[in-house]
Amino acid sequence: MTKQNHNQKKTRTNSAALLLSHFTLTTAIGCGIKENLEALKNETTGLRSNDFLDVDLETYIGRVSAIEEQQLPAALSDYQCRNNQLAYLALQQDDFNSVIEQAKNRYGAHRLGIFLGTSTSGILSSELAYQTESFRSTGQLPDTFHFREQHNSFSIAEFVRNLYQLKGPAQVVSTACSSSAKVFACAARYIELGLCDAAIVGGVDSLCLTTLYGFNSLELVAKEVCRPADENRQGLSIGEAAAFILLEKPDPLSAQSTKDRSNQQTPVYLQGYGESSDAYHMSSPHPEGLGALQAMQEALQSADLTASDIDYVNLHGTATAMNDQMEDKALAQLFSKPISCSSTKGWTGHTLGASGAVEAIYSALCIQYNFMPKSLNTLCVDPALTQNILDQTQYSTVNTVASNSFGFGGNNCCLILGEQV
Amino acid sequence: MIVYLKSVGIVAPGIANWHEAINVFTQTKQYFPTPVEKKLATILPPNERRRATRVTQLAMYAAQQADTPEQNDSSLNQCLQVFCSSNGDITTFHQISQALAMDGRPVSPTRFHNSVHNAPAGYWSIASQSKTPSTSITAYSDSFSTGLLEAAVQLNASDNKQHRDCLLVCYDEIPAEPFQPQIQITAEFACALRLSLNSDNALACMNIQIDHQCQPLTALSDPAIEQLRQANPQAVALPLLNAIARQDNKKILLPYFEQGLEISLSALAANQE
Repeated sequence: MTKQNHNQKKTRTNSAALLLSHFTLTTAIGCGIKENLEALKNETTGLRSNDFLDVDLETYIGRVSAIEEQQLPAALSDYQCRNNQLAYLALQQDDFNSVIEQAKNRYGAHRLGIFLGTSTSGILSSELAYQTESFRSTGQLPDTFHFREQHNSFSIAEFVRNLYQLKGPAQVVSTACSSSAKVFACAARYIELGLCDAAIVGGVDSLCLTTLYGFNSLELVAKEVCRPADENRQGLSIGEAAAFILLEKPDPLSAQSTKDRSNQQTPVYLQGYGESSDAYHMSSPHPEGLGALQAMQEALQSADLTASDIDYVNLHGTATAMNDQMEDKALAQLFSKPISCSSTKGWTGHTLGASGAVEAIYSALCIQYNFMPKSLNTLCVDPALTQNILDQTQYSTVNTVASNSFGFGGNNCCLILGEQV
Repeated sequence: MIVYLKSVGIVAPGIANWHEAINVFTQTKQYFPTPVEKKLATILPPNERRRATRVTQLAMYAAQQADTPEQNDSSLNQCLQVFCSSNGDITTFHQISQALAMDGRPVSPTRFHNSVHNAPAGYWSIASQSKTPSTSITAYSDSFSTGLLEAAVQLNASDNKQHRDCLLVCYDEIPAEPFQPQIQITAEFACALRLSLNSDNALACMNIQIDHQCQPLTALSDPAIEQLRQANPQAVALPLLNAIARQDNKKILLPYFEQGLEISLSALAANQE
């Protein structure tokens, strides 16, 4: 009987599911999928003692040092800023450029949408401009500062659009730390309504002074590495990352070409998503996790799944007491028995506007390689937490993963990824 | 995609609400761009009101006007929420960047949470107790059209199982001085459209599509209003609002990347008062 139920689960189809046909990411643990996967399996953190510019905070950061040497193509040099450099570095990995060129040829430049999330954009450029002697004396931003191309939140989408010379719909979602989870929902709706045939989705967020000193002012930054779900956690570590995914309708032809491209990896699908608002506080989540719960419930409903279909939850897991507690409460209300879960922020730090897309890719890797990563840096799990926080990485079949992202302003999103269409 | 317009909120120089906008557009009142009031009365609770910046006040002031008594089918806080701004809160970025250039880099926690692009949406959800999905987006100079398209997409997508309405709020402020040479915004502007899948008590029906043949963008004949249209990226909405106020059945082409966004407008009964 159990086996039969299992088979029923296997044959369930969701007509709205989209294929993550190709993806790449660059984080503090590596450039590209291979380095990220190795670090996840080897349990090596990307966090390092703060060495970012002249930032005088005692903390750990998930810095991608290769950004600083990254030059943009000459024709797009006005877009040169840390965020776009990070994006460009990421796009050079895993054959992503050629995959996009192929998709552009297949669908047409007008039919490929771009939906990206960021919270920081390239605001580091303006922050640094304000520190220059010339700005202090004249009040004028330097000629090298380009507001539209560097600071404005749309910069990242415009940069990618110009890089690949795409003409389809584009937008940036900027809802703090849920930004690049919500872009999946956004792209799914555009594709469903025929406004584009496929979409580049993703998120890019880069280190800057505003987030480091801002989170520090809220007393949410840990002095040591972040320890998600630990009884002695002190708060978060801030990281930077870029993650890109090509989302396509799962027609047999494109699924086959995807398999050829990615060495016969198990195809992973976006099965569902859920979005909600806390309507509670600007910078604190609802203490009972009501908004988080609502997002997860809607995600399950949209995927036509129940809680028992979920194998693993990639937590938002920022390692602040408030987040970890409310997320645990939300999970406890959803799952009838403790669910296997962990935060991957012990590897990357909290990559803010990029975290949704980064963790969607980590969730896809969990499905493709059948593992559930431990809660890295966690020394002793907070006994007040009720769920199964993984203290060891588990290697077992993973079919379906829920990935949580919660942002300032009480903005919540949950994605469900699985190997079934 | 077809959507119905239920109500409009607007705040701009010389226009404090939709009623005044109708008077201006129908030329029953001469348009004079008096600056927007310094203090805008919003429905924010006292704590949030103290912390809300100018750009949030503008967004709130327009959004709360979209709650009209005629829309008794469901309250405004049941709407899907789409917030859209070209630049977000430049004043707050300016203040934070100034603090970061000082000794000790004293960034205030309130300024920090106000710096996120979705701060106005966060304040709105708290003030209106909206627990529905909320997005905050930008597409630089194509932001208004992108917001309108996003709202139409959210309404029409199959995930809108409850057939909710959508509240679209578009706003941009006048940037802080150091940014002014690069951001040509000289007037404050915010507008809010309550959009729906049903036509009950609707002002107009809009058929929205991405147009692949470039046609000239629709400009306005009144030079003072045309000046306002060019003074804020969200004010590209004015030809659309003008046609709605005048009950014109016409096609409006708004800026949207290379193609433009075409809106075929038909006036409906509720607009005949």
